Amino acid sequence: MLIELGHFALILAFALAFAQAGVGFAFWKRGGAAAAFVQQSAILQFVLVGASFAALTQAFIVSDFSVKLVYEHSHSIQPMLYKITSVWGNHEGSMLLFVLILVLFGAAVAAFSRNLPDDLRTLVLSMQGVMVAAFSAFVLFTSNPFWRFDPAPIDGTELNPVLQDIGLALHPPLLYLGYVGFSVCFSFATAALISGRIDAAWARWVRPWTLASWAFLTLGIAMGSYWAYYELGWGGWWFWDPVENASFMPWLAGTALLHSAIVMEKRNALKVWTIFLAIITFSLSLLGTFLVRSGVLTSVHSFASDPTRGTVILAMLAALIGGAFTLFALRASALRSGGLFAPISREGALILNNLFLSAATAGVLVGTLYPLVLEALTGARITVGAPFFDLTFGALMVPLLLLIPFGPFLAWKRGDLAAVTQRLMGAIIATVLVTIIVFTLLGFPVSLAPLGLGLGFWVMLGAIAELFDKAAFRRAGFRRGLARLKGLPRTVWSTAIAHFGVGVTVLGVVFATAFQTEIVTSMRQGESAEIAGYTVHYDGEQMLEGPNYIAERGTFRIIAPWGTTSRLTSERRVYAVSRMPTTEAGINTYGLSQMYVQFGERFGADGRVVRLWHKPYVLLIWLGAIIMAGAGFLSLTDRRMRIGAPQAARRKRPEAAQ
Amino acid sequence: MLWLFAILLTLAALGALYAAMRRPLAGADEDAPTRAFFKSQLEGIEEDMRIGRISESEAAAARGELAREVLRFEREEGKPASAPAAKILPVLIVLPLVAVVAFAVYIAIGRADLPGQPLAGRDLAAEGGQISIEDAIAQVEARLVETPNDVRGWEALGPVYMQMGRYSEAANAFRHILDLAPPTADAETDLAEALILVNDGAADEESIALLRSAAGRDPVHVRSRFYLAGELTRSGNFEEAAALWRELLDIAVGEEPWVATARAGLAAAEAGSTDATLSDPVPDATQEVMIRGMVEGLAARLYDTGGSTDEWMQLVRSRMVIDGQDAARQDLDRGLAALDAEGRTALADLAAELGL
Repeated sequence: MLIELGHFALILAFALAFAQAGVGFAFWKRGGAAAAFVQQSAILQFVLVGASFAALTQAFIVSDFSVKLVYEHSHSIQPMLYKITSVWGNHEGSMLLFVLILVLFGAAVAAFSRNLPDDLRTLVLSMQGVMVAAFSAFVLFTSNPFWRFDPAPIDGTELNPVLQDIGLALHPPLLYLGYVGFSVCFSFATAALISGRIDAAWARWVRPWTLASWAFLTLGIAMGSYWAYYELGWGGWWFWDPVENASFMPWLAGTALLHSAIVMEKRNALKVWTIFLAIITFSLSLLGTFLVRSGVLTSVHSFASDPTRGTVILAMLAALIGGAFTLFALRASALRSGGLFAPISREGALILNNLFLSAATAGVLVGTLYPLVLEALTGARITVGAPFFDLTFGALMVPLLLLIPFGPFLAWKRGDLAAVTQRLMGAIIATVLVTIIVFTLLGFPVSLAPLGLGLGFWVMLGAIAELFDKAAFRRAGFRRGLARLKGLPRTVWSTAIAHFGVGVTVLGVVFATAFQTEIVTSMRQGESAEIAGYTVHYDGEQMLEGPNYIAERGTFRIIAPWGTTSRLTSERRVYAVSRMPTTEAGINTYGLSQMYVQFGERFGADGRVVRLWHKPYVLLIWLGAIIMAGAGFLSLTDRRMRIGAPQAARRKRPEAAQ
Repeated sequence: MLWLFAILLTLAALGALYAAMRRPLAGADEDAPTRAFFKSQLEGIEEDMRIGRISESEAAAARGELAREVLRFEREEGKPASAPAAKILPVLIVLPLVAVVAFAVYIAIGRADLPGQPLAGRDLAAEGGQISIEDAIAQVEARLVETPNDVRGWEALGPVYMQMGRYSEAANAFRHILDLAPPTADAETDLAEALILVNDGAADEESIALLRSAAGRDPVHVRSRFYLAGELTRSGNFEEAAALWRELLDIAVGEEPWVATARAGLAAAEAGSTDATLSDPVPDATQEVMIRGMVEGLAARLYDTGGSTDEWMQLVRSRMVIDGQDAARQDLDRGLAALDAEGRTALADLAAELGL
């Protein structure tokens, strides 16, 4: 009965979303009962979809195979964690998760934006209602997770073994929190266009939603990348795969939005552009969902490809995005242009940032869609591979990275480049020194790698320099500087930390690509191989039985250059029900570096093909992403973000009197 | 019960909406949020000046700019609200509509008649009994009507038909297997066996040809030779029969239970070839005996020295046909104990297929 009640709750939420959109758009100017209705309805939808999701999860937990989805994606012998993650490890369930997060954000807007003007909040929630109605209709009528079997099968088929991993518990929810979070920015943009009120205050109200979505998306992408790295067994962490690009494009556009919204908030400028970015960011999220869910692309993500679903998503995409852009075309010209500024100024730097980021987004978009369009038109199958992306994306990122440290130093309106360079001199000298040291340590190689490392250090040192400068250690002395450093607004801290994170990721990328060592060899029991100073000793293999798979496990002993010995196991599994083989790479972590061992095919009578990678400082890639996301969350806690919250907080700090 | 909860849920949701509409947000000042924003911007300027991010003159300019923004806002937005607050009544109409839509959609696509069936609460053994072998066959047959080229379907059906004594249907199934998959000695012998049983134990030309082909295809194939030798003995081709019996005895290790039958056959054939007047040319070698002999031979070998997964599967399948479930289950248990994990899974799959 629970499962049917869950089904009913979802349908009720769908009906409510319709009512919410209808009432909201009809009465948005008049507030009162309509505003209250819309607000309450948004919260109720979250409760209802939450109940629905819980009912489905319960069906997976108790292995109720009368539910088609449970039969198709779970099995009674699966470990409990994977029974639960199976809920969204498939098309229908993941779309329900999408709706759940959509209503979560709707409820959050309703709950935390009580201090927005009534009309704006009602319009935002109405737009969210349209999306909830559309997506829950899609779930109910084309991808219903509550479909039943009568009689119920004895046991299920299995969750795709590649997905039987802790990564499935983290990656999709985080990614969706990012994707779907941008729907709030989209709703704010359409609400602004409809009501005609687009000003600095609007930018302030959107900022927390942009920040939160961006931080979640950052974590989601990083988690996906790390998961692919250790699960797919190719030793790579980013493949410029269309599915990855689908999540990366909203991130790039979202990053641009984050920066342009600052200009809008502080200077009342770049308004049209910011609105445009808000629309395009969510459009790219939807495009990603479409690409992944339609079966246009085949990958581990395209669970079941069904052309009708793809068509429906495409139609929804066209209606939502088309509608928003029509609105944009009609209303954008009426916007009052904002404050003036000189080319060399904080605004100018942020425009440059936006320029590079949007060009990068466009580059990735072209590289991702061009093969699809070409195939649709001519039937020719081509792939646009890593070289294209490395070149276009790299070429755009280098100048952007060079510029990052300058931005926060420039004054609003009219900046002085010479003065800024002077204040950055410390960072510049430090970067040059570090780069020279790196060159020397590497023995002056003829490659760009040390320059890449220098770039990473430059961004990191620039971020530190900003904090030092703001704290004015030189003028105020150490102790007062320290006090000032502590007193800096959290937004300043988060900017510096996020930029520092970018530098960390750059370092990781350069290290991992330029200095990794790879060996493919065949090993027999007792043999060893040398890689990057480590000795890898193969101790033999054994068969073992997991809860729902059997595995051949190779055991290795790894002797580090400094003499410590550690064990490592790497497996090849065959899952019992689906009879699908997977690899479980063996990874040992040394500080920030990793030894990656993939246990390959049999070779001869008792040998194995073994692939060994030494990946120096590879963890920096994801560490940087975590730092960036952390900075985003830190910024959310800034006092000034909580508009309208009780402002009685200690306004005057004692320090001000000093 | 479900309906009761559904109605309660709907009522609760609509009630919450009604309650919210009854006391709309206490007509807060519409412009308050924007004023709060301007105030926070002013604070931002003060703070920037305090920590020295901007100079005093810059702060003054910024304050001036902010003041102009505030003035503009007051001019544009400061007018009294034009539209009166929405009344509760028009919005109220929506509530019953929501309920109607929800119930209509649920009745259209929901399955209120189906209870949840958590695995732990199900009596699988009883359910397994409910799915009769006829139903299972009917399901496979129905699928084969749609995909007649699915060789696995025919492979599942053939032995089951044999077990049920539906020999002509079995022959049809085996014929499909031969058409769809590359011929093997076993497949040819299966078809010949079915054809023989259709003819009440008499081998026609087709089955003889099939058995010869099978024996020729696999130099150590026992079953085809057994049938062929028996048939040749029966029809009086004693010399050829004797040669086949000898081949069989050569293939045999010596411990197989059918060895005795083969010796008897050889003796009969040899006797027949020297004494054409032998009154009853068929010794004790009825088909039943032959098949049993072969199965016992396979069983003895697998029990003693073990064998491949395929051989265990063949044994279990044959035993099922000849001796029924109990005997097959015994072989199954031995097989499960003897095989490695991968083979075990395959064998268990087969057992499930056979309904063991």
